[in-house]
Amino acid sequence: MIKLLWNTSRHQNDSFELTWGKYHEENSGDWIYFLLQDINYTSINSEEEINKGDTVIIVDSGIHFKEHFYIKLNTLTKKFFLFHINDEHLDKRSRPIYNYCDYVWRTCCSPKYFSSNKVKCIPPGYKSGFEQKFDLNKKRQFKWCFFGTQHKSSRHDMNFQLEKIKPNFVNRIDKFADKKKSMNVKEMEKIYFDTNFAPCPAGFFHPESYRIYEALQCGTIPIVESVYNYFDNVYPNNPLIKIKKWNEAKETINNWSHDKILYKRKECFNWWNQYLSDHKNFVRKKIYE
Amino acid sequence: MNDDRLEKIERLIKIKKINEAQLELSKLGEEFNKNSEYLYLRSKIFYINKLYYAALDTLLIALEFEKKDKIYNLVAEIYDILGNKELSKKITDPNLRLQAVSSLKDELSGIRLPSSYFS
Repeated sequence: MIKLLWNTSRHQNDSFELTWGKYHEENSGDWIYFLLQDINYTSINSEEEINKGDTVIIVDSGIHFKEHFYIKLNTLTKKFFLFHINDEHLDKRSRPIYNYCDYVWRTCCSPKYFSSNKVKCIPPGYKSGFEQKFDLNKKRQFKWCFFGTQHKSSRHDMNFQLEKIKPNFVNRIDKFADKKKSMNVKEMEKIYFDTNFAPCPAGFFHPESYRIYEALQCGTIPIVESVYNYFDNVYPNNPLIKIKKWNEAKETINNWSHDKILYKRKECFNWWNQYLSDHKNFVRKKIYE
Repeated sequence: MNDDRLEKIERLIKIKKINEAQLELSKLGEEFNKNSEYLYLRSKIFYINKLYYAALDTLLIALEFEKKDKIYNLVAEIYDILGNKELSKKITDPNLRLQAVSSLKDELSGIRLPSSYFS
């Protein structure tokens, strides 16, 4: 029997990891459940529901604080697979835990996993609620949009370089996940559906962010920061627009013709859907092999 | 410069042995995280590798520890490359740089360090 245990806010004594575990449990559900769509599993709430010989899928974060739990799983299960989310800091203590697992999918990659035969890097995905319900051919109102904080120099420069390119839609907040000022998924989705480009500056520690995949879900073209060619290493032949500095994006956002934008939007959207389909198949094959 | 290892790294950068300099930097431990010279050298390597934003963030953090001319000058040089000439000019001017960087940091929520970090 295959069982799924979402463990991000369980067995966690570290308050930082617990906060983020809850955040990602709330926001990453749709993404992980999508990848597991072709798996016939039963959701469980505790390891007490695991019987000897079960195959178990764990979704977890902050795993370096939970070695004891992973040792126990290793002895109890026939096979167990880990979806390791939210290791943006690339914590060195994560890797030894992988030794207990049969196979690992992790978000936020690093070069040490590029050619691993046990660890597969996946995107952090999109926040739960983003759906592909839009007309890809429809002309869009906004040239670019951005939702989020201005925590470091990249986002500050992005704003400096692009603010005069209008119409745009910006909802900048001072504090991450600010409940009063942040827009909800449906509000953001509505804006993305009406926008051509989504500048996606790096996250706080890592080039990845939900933003990139939310844009792709909505048929919007992500413009990403190419840090050490990260995106080409992790997703070869991807059509994302990559920049080293934000003034390189000005010409594209401001002057591309409707036809050129539409072509690129379709290219990105098709690539993303192919990726989703291929990876869902890969997950199924790996778990059933 | 207050450490032989940092001097060695600076020499490697000067003779453009960037990979070697990067390797030497990676050998240094956490005790260097508050060392402005170490942060400056890390920024230099980011800058040479055209990772302008990583360089800027590191330089702005270095200025939290020590306000050295060479740090301000590199910040100004990077803003010039990015095309923000006005900010670059302000940071180049010794009379304006302190205020310019302070205003910049006020706009960035992830750069200022909590007071506990300095104790």
